[in-house]
Amino acid sequence: MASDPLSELNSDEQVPERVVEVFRRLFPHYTGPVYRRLTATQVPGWDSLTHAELIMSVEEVYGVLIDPASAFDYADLGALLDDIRRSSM
Amino acid sequence: MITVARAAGREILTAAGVRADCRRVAGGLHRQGVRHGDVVLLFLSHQAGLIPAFLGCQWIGAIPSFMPALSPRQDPEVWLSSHRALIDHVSPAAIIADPEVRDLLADGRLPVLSLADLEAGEVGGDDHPVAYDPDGICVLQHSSGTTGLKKGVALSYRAVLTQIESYGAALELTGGETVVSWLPVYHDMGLVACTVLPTVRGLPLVSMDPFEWLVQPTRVLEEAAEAQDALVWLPNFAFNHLARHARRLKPDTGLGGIRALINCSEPCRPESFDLMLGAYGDRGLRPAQLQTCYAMAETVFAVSQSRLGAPVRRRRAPGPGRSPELLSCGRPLAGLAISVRDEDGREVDDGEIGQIHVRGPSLFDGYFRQAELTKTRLSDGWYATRDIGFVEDGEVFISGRLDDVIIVAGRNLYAHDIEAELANIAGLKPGRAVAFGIRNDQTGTEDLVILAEAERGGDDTLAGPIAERVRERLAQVLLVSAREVVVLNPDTLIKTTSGKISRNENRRRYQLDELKSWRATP
Repeated sequence: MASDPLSELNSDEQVPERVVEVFRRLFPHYTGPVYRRLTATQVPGWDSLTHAELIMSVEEVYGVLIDPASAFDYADLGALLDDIRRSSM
Repeated sequence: MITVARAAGREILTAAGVRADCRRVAGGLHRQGVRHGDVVLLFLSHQAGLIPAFLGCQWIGAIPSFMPALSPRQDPEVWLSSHRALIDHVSPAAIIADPEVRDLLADGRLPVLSLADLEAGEVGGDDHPVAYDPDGICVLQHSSGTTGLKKGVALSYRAVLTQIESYGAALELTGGETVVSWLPVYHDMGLVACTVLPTVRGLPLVSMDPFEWLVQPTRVLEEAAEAQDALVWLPNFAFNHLARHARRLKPDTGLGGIRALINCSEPCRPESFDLMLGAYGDRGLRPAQLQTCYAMAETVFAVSQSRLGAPVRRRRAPGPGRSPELLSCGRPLAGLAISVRDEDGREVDDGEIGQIHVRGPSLFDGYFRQAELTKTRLSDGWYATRDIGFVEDGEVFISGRLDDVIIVAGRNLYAHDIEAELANIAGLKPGRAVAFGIRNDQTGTEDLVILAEAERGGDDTLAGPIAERVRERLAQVLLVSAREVVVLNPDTLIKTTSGKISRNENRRRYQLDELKSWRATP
């Protein structure tokens, strides 16, 4: 694990293992790879409610709160991770 | 007083402010040619102007109807196409819409106005609203979630005001309560219980954005704890969502002063109440604060309401075997009669299961411009609800549905609509798909499952791409994500003796894992 937990969000390619763990727990019917450009239509059960669960779980992993007004604007998983990173600044 | 509580800040509207904004909207609509009896569709996201817009229509005798605004995750073109048939059917005289969809909705046939434009106008116009006809249409409430033509439930002023009077009596309102809500106003619970009721009864309203609530669920409890004698209506899944995130509640928040959290619009489940009490018992939440309501748009809203201040009764449905425990939905409102009938239409005894029929002064007048559909549901003053249940000691218990309705997070999705939407997915055999709901005990709502037969000549390598196309269609058109899309070998789905595909039998075989499928691996 990196010394600064948030630094692992800086990668433009990788989804941190802790986020992958959250993702697997919330979407047990999805068995494919978890990558930054993954979108809701590719994942069974990724609806508004599980989207909110995903955001809250990732917030708790990194100890940050994102702006709820933008919480449903993300085009893909990477956009959520970028917002988490920005929220910590 | 209305408080619009958003993460970015609070906005407070006084009665005088609402009245002035309402008159501006009324004046603007009148200048655009909207007249008494015309329908106005409101495609508005959560904002302070919702109530003035609604009342502004009624000020000049027009008929308002809230519609779902464009969701942040929805394709604008798909959103528009899902409403086009309804707009053509209703033929509104005007549309009031958020600025970002105004151009999209404008096709030159009718004025499409933004609320900002209307509210910026002169107050002008008449000092008083037009005299209303008690039997005139007060509001059109559209059913949610279907892709076909939504049913417009036409509600008269008499029905709405009777409901507010009798529901207020059932709740034993004193005038000191505050309504706290995150519910969308295009839903009957959000519109009637959380907008019309406080407006007519003069109760303060604290209104939150539905999407903000999803990611900050405990805020509704914090707002309710700060308000006086708060009343909060919630669909069943919201109890589970709140219980899962109890640790987010601010440390100094005590819930003992909340008047009631009322479970409505999905089957009310005892285990969801137990989860809430387990999660918030140490914050002062008591069983007597968790209440239930049986409601539908066709009766304006409530049919029955549990007695506030006492724990809700629990009972198992009659019949052989050990059936699931049910929560009482309380006694029918004054003036509303309930008749439970068997398959032949004969009334059954107390404690026996049948279809619930309702009659009374708050019943709707029919589905808007859908006379044939109205005839199938409304007969001799009785409305056939399609809900299955029983009455015991005067209290109503609901145990299921006759329709193939899948209720996902408070939204009614009709299986036949979903199946029709899958008729032209590349790789699937047209007309050979079934949709059904599977209970999810963790979320407290239902998950959608799709079984669909592949076309002949393919192989299981096509399952993944076909399933992805199905998911894409469901997400874009219905804003729903299936728990599982199972692509089946051709000729796998079971038919009934009349040749129709059997949802019940195919669901049973799915649950027993008996289907020979190309399981889609995303």
